[in-house]
Amino acid sequence: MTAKALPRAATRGRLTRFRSALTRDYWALAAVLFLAAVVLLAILAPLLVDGDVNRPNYGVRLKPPLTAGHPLGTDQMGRDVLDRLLLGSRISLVVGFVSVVVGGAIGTAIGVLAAYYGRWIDTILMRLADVQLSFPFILLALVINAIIGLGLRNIIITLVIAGWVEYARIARGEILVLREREFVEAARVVGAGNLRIMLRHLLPNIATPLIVISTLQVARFIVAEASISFLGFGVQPPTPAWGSMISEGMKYIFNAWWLVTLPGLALALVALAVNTAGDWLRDVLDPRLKI
Amino acid sequence: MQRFIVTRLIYGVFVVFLAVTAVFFMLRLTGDPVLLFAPMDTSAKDLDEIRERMGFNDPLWVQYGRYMRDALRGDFGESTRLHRPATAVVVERLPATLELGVAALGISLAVGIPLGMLAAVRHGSVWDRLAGLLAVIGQAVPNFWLGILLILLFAVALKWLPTSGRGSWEQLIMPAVALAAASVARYARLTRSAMLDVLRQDYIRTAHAKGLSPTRVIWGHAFKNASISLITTTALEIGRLLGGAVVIEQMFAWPGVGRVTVQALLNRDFAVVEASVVLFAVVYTVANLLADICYAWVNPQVRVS
Repeated sequence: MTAKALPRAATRGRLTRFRSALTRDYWALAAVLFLAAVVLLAILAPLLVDGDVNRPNYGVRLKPPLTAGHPLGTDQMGRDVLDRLLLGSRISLVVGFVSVVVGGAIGTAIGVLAAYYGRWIDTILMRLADVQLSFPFILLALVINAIIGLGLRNIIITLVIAGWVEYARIARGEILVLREREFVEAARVVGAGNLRIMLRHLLPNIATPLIVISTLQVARFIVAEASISFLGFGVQPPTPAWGSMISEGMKYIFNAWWLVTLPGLALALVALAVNTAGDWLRDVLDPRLKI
Repeated sequence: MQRFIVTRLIYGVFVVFLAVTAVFFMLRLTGDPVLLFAPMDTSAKDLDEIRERMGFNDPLWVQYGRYMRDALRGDFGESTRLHRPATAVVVERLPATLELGVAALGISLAVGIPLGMLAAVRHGSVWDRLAGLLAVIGQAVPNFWLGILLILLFAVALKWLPTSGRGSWEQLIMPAVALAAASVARYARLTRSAMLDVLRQDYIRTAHAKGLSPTRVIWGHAFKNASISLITTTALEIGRLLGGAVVIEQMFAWPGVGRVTVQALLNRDFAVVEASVVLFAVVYTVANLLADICYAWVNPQVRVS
């Protein structure tokens, strides 16, 4: 059964079910609302900050939060922390979503192809996956990032390369079971080609685990980007990414606590909200899913 | 079972071989490894000399053959920074990483399992909610930020613990706790769900009906069975802690393999990067292998496939 084939009434029923499941679960509701607010702030950020957030203003160096004009204080160059946090949210969200979408698409395609055609394609792709999984994720990402270079675009490429495996393995596992089912045989009998079978019959059936894992991956990738930027790779200062803001703030940890705590708090809250939303999504879509 | 272990072992060796190969090609993929790893201000003449000395002018397959031959003997060349064999530079840091890893694993087991047990036995109580909350937070909070919070509280504000370094047990506390947090959360979560599964079984009811003390039923009957899934997780957890150590060691200036790797990447120290990444791959693969074997050991169905 494909999502498209559902009559309209059933689709509406699903939406209602989603909404009622969300209003019953306060934590999930809070998480979704929080994320919506963060996304909105990230989109509006350029309008909310005044001027160039990277321009130093040494007259107001290291002012603590609640200083007039600087609600969250200023950093070692007198730059406004709130403004930089707002702009930093754009980097975290863009990195999280883009790398999950691109990595997810590539990984899923590879997994589907490997399982559907089997034989040597499957063998090669899965050995490749095993090799990649023989390195800790963060180490692999660091090495790739050091090789392909720093900056926002390259950190996304890094996470895509380091992250496709998860999707490939899940998609492959699901397809291996599905392709033996009667409806695939039936589709072939009525004349559907390989591409049609994969896109219209198999893919919709593996959407649930992929959506759930994608949600959880967003949080993982956002934290990974921050960790990598914190270690001095990834997004470089003066660009206000949360990870590099923390890294810069480390030098002032003894006299300016807000420089290291606030970007980390933002990071932790976003990760927490995404995870909560992901857990909730799994429970609603398929409670038996073990991810 | 023996056959399964042998097959997995051979496959593990094969994966490590491929991983070592991957390291070789990864570091040469972008073209000139000398440009990638030489200091920025090296002159063109020096670059040529480095290329010649390190054999980068030979055909790729000749380089690969030489690299493989040396790698099998554990030789990855000399560190350009420290002018010592890269393997020695990395291996001598291993005890520090093991110390940190063992401490973190100890904390995870000692805190995570009782927390999960408590949550399962007092299902739906305040304890259950508290454990659930801790598990969710522990999973979401980035380990390096937790490290910073610990430094702010215990080193900057209270001045109880030193901020970094290795030597005394006080220096071990904060990195170990920061590294263990996510792991504690996973153990608590897993123990809880495994215990809930077991506690629903008939034989638990029978044990209660026989008049055994609740403690005896929980630890002697229920936990024994719930612990099966924990054994498999522990092998995987070793690998995860290793990955976490990369960030935590840098944060606390803990002189382990993770820190030496990050430093080598920042300093563009080619040989040390190779040696340490290979070491990581070996340890990580062994951990994964252990997990597979444990899983097959407790779950005979797996062995067939």
